[in-house]
Amino acid sequence: MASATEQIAPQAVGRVERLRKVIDPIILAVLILLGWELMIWIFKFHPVVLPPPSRVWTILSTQGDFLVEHMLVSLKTIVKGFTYGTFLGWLAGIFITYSRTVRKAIQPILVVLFVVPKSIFLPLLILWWGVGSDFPNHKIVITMLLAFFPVTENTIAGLSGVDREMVELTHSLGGSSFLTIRKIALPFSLPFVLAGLRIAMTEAFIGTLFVEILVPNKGIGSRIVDAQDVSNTQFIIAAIMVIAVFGLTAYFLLQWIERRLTKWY
Amino acid sequence: MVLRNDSAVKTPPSWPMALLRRAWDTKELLFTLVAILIVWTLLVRTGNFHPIVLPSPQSVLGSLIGNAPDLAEATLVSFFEMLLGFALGGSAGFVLAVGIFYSPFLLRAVYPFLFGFRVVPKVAFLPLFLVWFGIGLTVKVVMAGTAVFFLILVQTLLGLSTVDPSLVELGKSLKMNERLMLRWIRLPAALPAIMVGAKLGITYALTNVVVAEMFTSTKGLGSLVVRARQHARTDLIIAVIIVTAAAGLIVYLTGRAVEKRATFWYIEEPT
Amino acid sequence: MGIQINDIGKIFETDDLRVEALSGISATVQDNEFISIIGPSGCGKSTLLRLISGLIEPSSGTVLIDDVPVNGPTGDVGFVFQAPTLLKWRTVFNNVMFPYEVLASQRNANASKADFEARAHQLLEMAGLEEFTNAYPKQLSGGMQQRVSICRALIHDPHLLLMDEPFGALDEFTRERMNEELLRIWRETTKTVVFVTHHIPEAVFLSDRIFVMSRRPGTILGEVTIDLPRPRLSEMRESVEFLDSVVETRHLIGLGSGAELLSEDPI
Repeated sequence: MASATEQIAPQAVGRVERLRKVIDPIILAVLILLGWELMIWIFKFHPVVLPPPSRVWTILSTQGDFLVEHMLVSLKTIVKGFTYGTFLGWLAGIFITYSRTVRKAIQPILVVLFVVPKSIFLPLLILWWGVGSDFPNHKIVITMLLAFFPVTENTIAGLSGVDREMVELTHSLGGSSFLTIRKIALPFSLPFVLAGLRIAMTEAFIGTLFVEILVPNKGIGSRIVDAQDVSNTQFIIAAIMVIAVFGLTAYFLLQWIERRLTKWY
Repeated sequence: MVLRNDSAVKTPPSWPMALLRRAWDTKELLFTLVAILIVWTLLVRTGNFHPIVLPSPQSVLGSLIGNAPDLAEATLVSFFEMLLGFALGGSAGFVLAVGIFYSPFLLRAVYPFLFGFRVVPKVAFLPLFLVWFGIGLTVKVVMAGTAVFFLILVQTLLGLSTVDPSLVELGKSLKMNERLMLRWIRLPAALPAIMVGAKLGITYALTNVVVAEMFTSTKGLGSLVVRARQHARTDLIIAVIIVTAAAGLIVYLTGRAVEKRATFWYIEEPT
Repeated sequence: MGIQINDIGKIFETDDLRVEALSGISATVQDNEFISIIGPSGCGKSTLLRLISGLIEPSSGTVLIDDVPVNGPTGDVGFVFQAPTLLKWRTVFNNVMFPYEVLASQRNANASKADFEARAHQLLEMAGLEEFTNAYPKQLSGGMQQRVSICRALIHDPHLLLMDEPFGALDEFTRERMNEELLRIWRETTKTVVFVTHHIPEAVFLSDRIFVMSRRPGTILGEVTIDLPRPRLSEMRESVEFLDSVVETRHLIGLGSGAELLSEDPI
């Protein structure tokens, strides 16, 4: 399943165009870096407000280990929240699709949960469970909450999209609904569920990070807040880059898995 | 002689019946909500919960009513920030997308970075924005705007890139110049995708506004809930949650309604 | 497998719609006959097929198969649809074996797995697809996928084969070839076939009899008996008898000169 971003891909026909696909982004990046330096030089920005790329690079090279170490701490929470949230989301998707009662009882509540800014639950969760505990942990709960919805929605879409005729074929042979779900609907929904996982991973990153920023404790988000307290902007920018790298790796990893598993679809 | 009966639609029921049927349709939901309320009340009555941990439904209701002015003001502030951010971020994203679309260089250059925009949590920029913009109105608007900006940028590009080529050919056969083509063919064809982005974008805008408010604690729903916690007023916390949920729901439903009106003509192509 | 349809009616009803799909249909199909059903869109042809197979129940009237009333899916039916409807994540072989898995899950399979597998290979060979036994549907053309679909419909050796416009999505050349393939397979396996189509020459070429259905609510307007000898050969498509049958069918439907008009709008 092609994500929205992939459908924008510039068409590259011929060697020159394909080469430019690689070179142009590099050109843009270089231009931006130069523009960045130029703006600092012209406007004489205080290095606190807009640190030059060189300073950001310094941070990356000298404090790289520190950044990665704390990123990994965040990653643990992200992965845990992602796993629990997506699993629950998948189950919810199955129940909502196949049980009219569950669907009518729960789905409106899920819609409301989806549209409410989930950060608003944070004070309540902290009140109940405090900041230090391991599980239930307000960070994991929020992460789970964010990862839950894309998977539920995609599972429902996948299960509902099954060819009606395939189901009829199975019924005409006397097959039970359970068999239909197991052998037809679930395999059919795989590409959808995997696409949902990709989105859920992005959401999990968001969830963990904003809890770390709002309630600083552990993880790279909290270290960003530390840096903000002393206006260490080059650290913040460096940290954002590290997060971007990890986020992209996770995203492309999931995409690769998705491609491998749905080769024949 | 074969009887021909072409009228398959039944006469719709009278309005009291239709209303009753609607109510009966939502019976599972109502049952669940009532059950939650009952369990909540029971827990409060029989459990040993300190009112700070679990306030009773009545105290929450009392908070809602008693603090109505504060809640209303906070909601309006948050809405204002959200709308401003949405308007600024959305228009910027839209304009930039059109510009990128018409420049092959920019399209190729920007494309890889789009993935990065998607993946980096905009919330990570909050501390940076705080250093740059302080804790006033600006930072909230910028936070909301950033989220909307990237979303509308991607969705507009998506819409423009996936216009049915036969429509473009139609335009060319009518000797349309590019300006007309954009206005009469490309943009309308891209509208459904853009509306999807707008609908999601305004929800994200609200989320980011609330996060920013929670951090800076000045005005708005996010600040209110943080202050409630500082004063250990859990009933108020839950009241704010309810109001925020209602606000989020209104925003989402409005967005969806606008999307439907704007794209009522759209036929989903079978994939 | 003889089918007896007695005064069938079918009404679909929801909260705001009440649709009479079929009304007063009676027909007899002999064992090993090849029957086609032709009719305008929406006339209830698909509904009729589903009634025969036991997937849905009639609102009135009865369906008898070999003099036994149909009470639900019998498992003795093969279904082929317009779209190949193969499971994309399974190989061709595993797609053909699918009915075995369904029947086996209720202990309804009348032969062992090995027997089924042998039959699967046999059917694929008969359809000219042995090379693709382990290929995936994605790698096959539309016509080939449809052939797999036919093999799948035959693997449990059902007595009744129901086909709902199976060649509708193919171009004319492939369609004619598939017609001949189908007849060859039918000759080698002997079954009762009920074949729904929009395409009059196809119906004439394939069938012993053609039932013509009316617009909704569907009923049978008439019957055309095809007098061509079997085995049907491609040249017969150009014979006078063939064209006579086509004309007869056209007139029953309401096309062409001197025909009884079926309805005001021809679509």
